Amino acid sequence: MKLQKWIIDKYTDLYGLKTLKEISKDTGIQVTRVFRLMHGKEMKIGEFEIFQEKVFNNFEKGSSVIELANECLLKLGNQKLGEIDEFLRRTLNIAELKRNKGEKK
Amino acid sequence: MKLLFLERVILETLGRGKRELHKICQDCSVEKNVVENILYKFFNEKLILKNKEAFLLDFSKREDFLEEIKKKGNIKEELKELLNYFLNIFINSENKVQFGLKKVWVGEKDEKMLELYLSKIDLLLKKAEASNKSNNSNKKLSLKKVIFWGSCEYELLIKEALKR
Repeated sequence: MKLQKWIIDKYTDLYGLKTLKEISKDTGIQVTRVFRLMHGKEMKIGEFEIFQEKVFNNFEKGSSVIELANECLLKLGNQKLGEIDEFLRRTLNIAELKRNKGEKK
Repeated sequence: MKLLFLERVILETLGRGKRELHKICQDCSVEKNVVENILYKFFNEKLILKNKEAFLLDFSKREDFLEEIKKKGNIKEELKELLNYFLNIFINSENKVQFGLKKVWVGEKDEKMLELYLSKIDLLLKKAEASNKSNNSNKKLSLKKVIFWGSCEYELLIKEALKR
């Protein structure tokens, strides 16, 4: 559910506050369902993927990173996954250090 | 706690004695906002104290800290980050950074010579390190040179690469 909230927040950040109808039109998810999702109803995987695609299509290379990460999860062992995890974590922490005061996370 | 490269830099600066914010920035050539973010983190981790405007290291509440950052896994991550930056600079700059890598069969005699040269380098740098402690309190930290060397059998690298 944490991930669901994160993806909806990210979507709202990127596209601004839209009406339920607009979100429905943009995502292809029925208006009543959008209403439920916005009020905390648990997302189906397909719905999450729609939001994910909308969010990451906005970032250059974003979707390929997600695809790669999924492929890594399927194909790599724990040690290699741990190394990637550590690398990503450090890279994020470094970016965090370079953030200006008051800058959005 | 796993130290990032820039956090290590600030730690080294503070290791030279208590300093005010602008002095820290000057000493290590790191931008103010980055230094502030790191100091804020160190503060939350109870690694530093603020005395008027100066910051100083204080590990009294974190005696585990030095042991923690010396752990092999943590050192490895720090080195990987440093080497990554080094290689980026080397690849992107022409002639400013020296880097040599050779794959060669080394005969018995040459191997001994190599060991001798490497131990001479080691000795030279140890001397420099010792004199640093007494003579360079006014020099900027960022003016230090980073030097590394080493060699290993090709087979070890191949085995490492084959690990799943």
